[in-house]
Amino acid sequence: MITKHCLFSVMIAFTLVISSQSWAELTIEITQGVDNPTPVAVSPFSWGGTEPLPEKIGAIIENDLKFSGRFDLLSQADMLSYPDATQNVFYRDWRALGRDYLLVGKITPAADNKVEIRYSLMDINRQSKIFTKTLTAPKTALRDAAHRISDQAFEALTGIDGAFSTKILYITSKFLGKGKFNYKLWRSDFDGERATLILNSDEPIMSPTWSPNGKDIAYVSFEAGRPAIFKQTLSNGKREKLTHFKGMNSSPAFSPDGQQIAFVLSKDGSPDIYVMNLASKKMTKVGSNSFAIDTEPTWLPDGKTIAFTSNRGGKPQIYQVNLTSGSTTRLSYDGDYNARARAMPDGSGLILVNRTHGQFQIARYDLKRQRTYVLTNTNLDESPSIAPNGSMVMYAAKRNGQGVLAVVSVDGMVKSIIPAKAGLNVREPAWSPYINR
Amino acid sequence: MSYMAYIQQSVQQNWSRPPSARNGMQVELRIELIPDGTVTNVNIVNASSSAAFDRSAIAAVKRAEQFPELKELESRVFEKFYRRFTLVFKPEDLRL
Repeated sequence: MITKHCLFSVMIAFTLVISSQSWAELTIEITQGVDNPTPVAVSPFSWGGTEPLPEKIGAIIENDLKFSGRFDLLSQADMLSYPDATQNVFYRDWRALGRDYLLVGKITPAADNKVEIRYSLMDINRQSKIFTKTLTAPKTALRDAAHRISDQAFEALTGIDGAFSTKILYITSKFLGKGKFNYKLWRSDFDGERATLILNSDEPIMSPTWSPNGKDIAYVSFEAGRPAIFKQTLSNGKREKLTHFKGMNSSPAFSPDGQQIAFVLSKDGSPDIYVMNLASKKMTKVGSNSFAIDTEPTWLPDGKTIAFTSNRGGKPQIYQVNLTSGSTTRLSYDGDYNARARAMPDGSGLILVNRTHGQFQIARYDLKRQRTYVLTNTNLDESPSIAPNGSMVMYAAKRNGQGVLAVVSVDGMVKSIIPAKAGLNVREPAWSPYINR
Repeated sequence: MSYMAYIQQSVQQNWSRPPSARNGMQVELRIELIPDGTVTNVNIVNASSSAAFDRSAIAAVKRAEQFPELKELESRVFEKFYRRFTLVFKPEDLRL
């Protein structure tokens, strides 16, 4: 009996070797793809309470995913059923509708005017669940909960951290007639929703920027007649005037550790880059070239290098200065104009404004390959700002003479516009870092 | 066109890589077919470091669903080469 069993095992092992050899003989390599948006569906989240909820969570998630440009969403009207939990999902239906993934969710009342949301992401092709999670949120913060769920779904399906819970700063200006303008600095969700006013002024506001922890911001305000750089704490509105020198005070940029801030002053004649220690307020001039205009500093993620715009070679181009050695090198050579750089969070490159054949476009400068890749094809694009996940860039564009915010993916494949209210010129978006993670 | 090229083309036309995909990433799948060319089984043999990337490769095969050209094959050839085979997904055409 034992012998027979052993022989049988040997035979099985032998068969396995043979068969593994026979299938290993043919290998087909797939080296190209089409990269169409991934077909997904978000089934409307069910609600077990009596009074209607102030926000439709499923619809917000749908908008987030649509906005990213990476997904093709199925409209509710085309769905055959509205499952709200894994056990109600009929894979065959969703497969027939050409979906690869499906998000379902169920909202139930919880104590203290809160709700509990239980949601699952399903892989239709493999007929399996990718995750099921639960989240509790106050009824007043359903939009935050929806963005959080979008982040998790986006992360699972793209391999990139979601940035739907982030905020933006931007400036609007309105012509009041008789040479007068009104300027406002706003903070809103990344999609322009829930805008709150931060500063209202009849004099220009410029260059808003975030501290790395998202708690403080800095900007330039002309409210005192000439430009000054302010730092402001968002939670309590407390303001601190950092610089108010004669001449230019512009382009503030917090260092990656939040301890220092770089900006531009022209108090000695031509504009120069300075770095200020925020605790001691001690300032150092960096990368200076006495006759040139040096401006628009941006910190590389290493915290030891600042890239900036300079016309020291004749036309505006991007240079970088090593803060330890003080040595300066030129980075950009493509096109006759490169300016207003922002460093990508992974340190792989810069997003900047490039001019080629007279067109101003947003471009990515690859630091390793030392090459420029143009991302947008409209004219007069300016002020790029990068999402903290490094996958999208928001910038200011012109549509029918009006300033609007637009978004492009860093590979240039996906573009969208954030609609602005009529009569408002929207400028200088600044995408926040991750907040409360 | 060879039968291998048919399979390759059909899978490539259905492969949407996630934005985190980079040239040099690699996932290896074992595919099982029945003689009419229908895919009956897809398994990961060697995964990449990214679940999203691996899922995109499986989705490409599942979307291709069937390679009807293989019906033309002699059953001896089908059994030897196409009953089970390996697909190696390694992008070379990405911009990033």
